[in-house]
Order: sequence, then C-alpha cells, then structure tokens
Amino acid sequence: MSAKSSNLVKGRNRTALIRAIARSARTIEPRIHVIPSKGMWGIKFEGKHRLYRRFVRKDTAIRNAKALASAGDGSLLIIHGADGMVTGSISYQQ
Amino acid sequence: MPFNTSVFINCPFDKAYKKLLRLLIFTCIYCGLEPKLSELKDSGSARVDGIIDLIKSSKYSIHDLSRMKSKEANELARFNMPFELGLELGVRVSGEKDLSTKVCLIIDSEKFRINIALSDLAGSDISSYGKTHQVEKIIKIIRDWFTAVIGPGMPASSFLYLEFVEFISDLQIDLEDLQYGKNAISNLPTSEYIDFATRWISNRPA
Repeated sequence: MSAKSSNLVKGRNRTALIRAIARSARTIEPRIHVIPSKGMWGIKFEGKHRLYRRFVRKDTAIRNAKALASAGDGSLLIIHGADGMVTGSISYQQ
Repeated sequence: MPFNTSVFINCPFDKAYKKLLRLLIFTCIYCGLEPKLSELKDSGSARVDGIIDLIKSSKYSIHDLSRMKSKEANELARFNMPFELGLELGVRVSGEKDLSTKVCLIIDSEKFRINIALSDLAGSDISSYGKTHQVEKIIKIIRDWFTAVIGPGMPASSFLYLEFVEFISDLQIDLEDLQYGKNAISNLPTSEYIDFATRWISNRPA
C-alpha cells in the first residue's frame, strides 16, 4: 500500500481542508494562545511574533488570557500543552 | 526531488515520538527543505534499499538516537536509528561525488550517552534536547544547524516556534470544522501532514 492511498482526509473533505488551510495561513483571527515558553507559560496573540506576557504557572496564564478574551481582545482562547499541541479551546464570540 | 534541498529524517515512528516528528517536519519545511522519511516509502521496494535511496538523495540528514535504550524491563532497544546513521556515514565514503558533500545532525534526549553506547562516534558533535521544554529546544537545534551548514537567512527559532503554534491551531480547527475528531492531527498520516504543512507555510504572508 502506498502512503498516498492511506490518507485520512479524502475526496471533498480534502479539497475543503486544502482551501481552509490556505485561508487560515493568510488570515489573522483574533485568537489568544496560552503556550509553553522557556519553562514558563506565555500569552500570545495571533499574528504577533512576540509574547504578550509570561507566567510561572499555566493556570495563571489561562486566567489572564480569559480576562483578555472576555474584555474583547480575542474571540477564541486556544490552550496548548507542553508539547505545543492544542489541548483545549474556549470561544468568546458574541 | 533535488539533492541539495532534501533532508532525510531518521527517527522513531512510534506514537510517543509522533509529536516531536511533527515539529521536526514543520521546522525543515519552514527552513526551505524537503523532509524525507523511510515511513513514506512505497512498500513495493525492499526496506533497506529504499532507505539507502532516501539517504543518497538527501544532502542533509537528522538522526535522533534517543531510543537506543529500552524504557522497560524485557523491552528491546531499537537499533534502526543507529543502523541508518551507519548507512549515512557509509554512503558518504562510497566514492560518488555528490555524496561526499553530505552533512548530518545527530540528536539525543540525553547528553554524552551516545559517546558511551556508540564510542565510534567519539569526537562527533551530538546535540541534546533534554527531557523538558523539548519543543523549543529541538527547533533551536535544527534551525541553528541549518544556519551552520546552509548559511544565514533562516527564520529565528523563537519565530519558528510561534509559527508552529499557529499552524497546529489552524490545522486542528480546520479539521474539527470538517467533523474530524480532536485526535485527527495525531491520526494524520505523515505524508498528509507534510502536504498540509507545506501548503500552510507557502500561504503565509511575507
């Protein structure tokens, strides 16, 4: 079996995902990320290449990120794990 | 695929390593290189022959030897990675002109261990990414190595890390929008992941 035939995303879904990936790459959504950073936890706004702030504890970073999102600075809060992968998200859309 | 922009990745393909592999692949593509993995080879050809072909067609290679030690009693250590590193070093001296220009990066999760387990490599530079904060450390090791062997102009490692975070979020959200489950990223075949990462990176604003 070749690698190509074992794709998870097939047919129309594949076309839709390819379009979505291209669109996501170009668009900056008002999202806030909580990410691991140098042994601490940082808050990063989508599209910014500098952290907004760093905290010793993850829960403190999340609490501050939630406050920013609630104040209208983000429509989606994305929480990452120590490996950088997404572990959860909270929508703040009106 | 051009020899000068290909990088052969020799690493574990188990579930535990998958997240680091995603990171390795993303970093290589963002630095303008094309990752090649034995996992992607068509099973029609003999495995070792296929691996040698991949090694010969890649100027660069990254070898993660972190699975040289078993984690549990009665578990066997994996020898594929040191074996493929041996193949890499062997083809370099095979007499073919391009192959003598090949360069490789050897990484491990622990410092100095390789010099004991594989003493023939004594004197070689081996980079350790430790057991904590591996994501940022691996990006920095790979990015700095590309800068050393290819030249300046690579994105900063902190920039690459933040781009990786955004890419993973975009991919996760786009997959969930299409009703794929939360584990979709880890279930994506590597060839598919490479395709999506390449498309995302090529669409990033300059």
